[in-house]
Amino acid sequence: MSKNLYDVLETCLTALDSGADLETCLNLFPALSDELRPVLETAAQARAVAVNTPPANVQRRGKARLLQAAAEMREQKAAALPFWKRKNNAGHSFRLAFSALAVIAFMLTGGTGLVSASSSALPGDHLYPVKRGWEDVQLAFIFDPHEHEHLSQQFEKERLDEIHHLFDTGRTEHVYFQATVEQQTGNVWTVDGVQILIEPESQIDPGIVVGALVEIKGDTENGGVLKADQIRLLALPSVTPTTSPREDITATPTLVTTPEPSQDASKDEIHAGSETEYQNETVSEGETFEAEVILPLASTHHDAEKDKRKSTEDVPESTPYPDSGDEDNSQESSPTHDG
Amino acid sequence: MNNQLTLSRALLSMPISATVPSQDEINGLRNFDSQATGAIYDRYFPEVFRFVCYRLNDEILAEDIASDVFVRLLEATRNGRGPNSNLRAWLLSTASHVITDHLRKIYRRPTEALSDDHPDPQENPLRDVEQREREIHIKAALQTLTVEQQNVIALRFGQGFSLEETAQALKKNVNAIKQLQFRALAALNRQMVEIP
Repeated sequence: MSKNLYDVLETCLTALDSGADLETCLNLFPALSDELRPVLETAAQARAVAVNTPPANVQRRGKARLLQAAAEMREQKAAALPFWKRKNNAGHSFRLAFSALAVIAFMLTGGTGLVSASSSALPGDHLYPVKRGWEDVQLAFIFDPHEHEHLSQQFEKERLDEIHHLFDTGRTEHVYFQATVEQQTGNVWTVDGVQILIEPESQIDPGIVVGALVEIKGDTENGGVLKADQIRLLALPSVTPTTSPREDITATPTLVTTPEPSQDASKDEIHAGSETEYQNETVSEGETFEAEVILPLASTHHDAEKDKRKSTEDVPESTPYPDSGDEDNSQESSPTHDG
Repeated sequence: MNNQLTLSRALLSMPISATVPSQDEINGLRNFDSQATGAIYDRYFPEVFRFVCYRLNDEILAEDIASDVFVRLLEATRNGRGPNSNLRAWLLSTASHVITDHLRKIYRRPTEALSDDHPDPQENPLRDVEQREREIHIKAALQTLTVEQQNVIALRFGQGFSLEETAQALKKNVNAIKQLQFRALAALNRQMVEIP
């Protein structure tokens, strides 16, 4: 049986598919027609067998079975993984924590040489991130607040030294540090002795005043100025109270009441609008004093004390006097005058 | 029946490129992703079902075997023996193995065949009795052929695969398929003559 017969069969099958009849095909290859005829007739019968498309319910059932098996295998696969390789679980956090601890342990032991080498690094140097990272590690492991504050100030001073060093060497590097605003003149501010150039595109938090603690990100420029990219307000300045007496201002005392214990508590209550009296004292500006508040328990008592100054309408519920317009009037840190 | 045949032929004339799974689907299958697994099932189940149905002439059995083939696909993937690219060939080859295993079990433990008095749940009342008898005859003859011969006839004449598609599915070259096809048809013809 020659190889050619196989090709002839394929040619005839293609022709039958295209709509040609059996006799036409056989007439094309008369020498092979005897061999081809039974084969082509069988092929036609084989094609005539109905090809069943799977019913929709059969397909749904099979799909449900398959997806159920897939879900089970998915769970088995997840359960078979070591816990530190699973996603979205505590193992992931554990791995991160373990990595962090490993880095810390390295820096505390074998990494001391690297840390030492990074101590003189400046912003832009390869070892500078090591230097800053080591500072963060040191701060994280100091729990005494005073020592923590001391070390923070030391690091802030280090930042300023780095900036001055960059200025001296004329390097342009990106820096970020914390400092206190000393002066604001137009578009040039001074923070801890460093001149900051404010550009129109600089992002500045509103409400920054002299004395505020800020975080500055920017680039050192030639000429000893730092061009600000961003200035964030960290803390507003704390106001130092004025405690010395000022003779030129008439004092406005702050009233602090000290109610005496009484058997009839209801009579000692002072309500908004209650009529009370106090004995006037001359106090210094910003000072508070204690006054004996006399409740109008009886009309006779009230008459006997009527020469004393009334204050009920101005001092309801022993609140401080309304602001007289002086800024220092309500300082609570002032000394208390016993009266 | 002609309408059904026309529809099936139309489905079978779908270009190969439309039936090739994407690498995302293969990767999704490896992760047992529901969407990827479902997409692969939707794409290949009709082919596998028709292939099994053609070989066994039993739709209920074809449903079981075709479903089993896809579960085996998941199991093979889990065990690292799943297909890397030629998913269709893997499915059809597995279906052929499952059919062979099934037939071997039947031969070892023959079951009592249903008598003609039992109603066929899949019977189509419109199907011509004569045509149905011819189908039974040819399917009986088909089962006497070798597995490779059965597969090539099922794919070429049941599924409407081209020579190239058949060669790809059976992992043979085109010339080998041409030869196998001729011998299969010749053997089938002889069996149909011999089987009354």
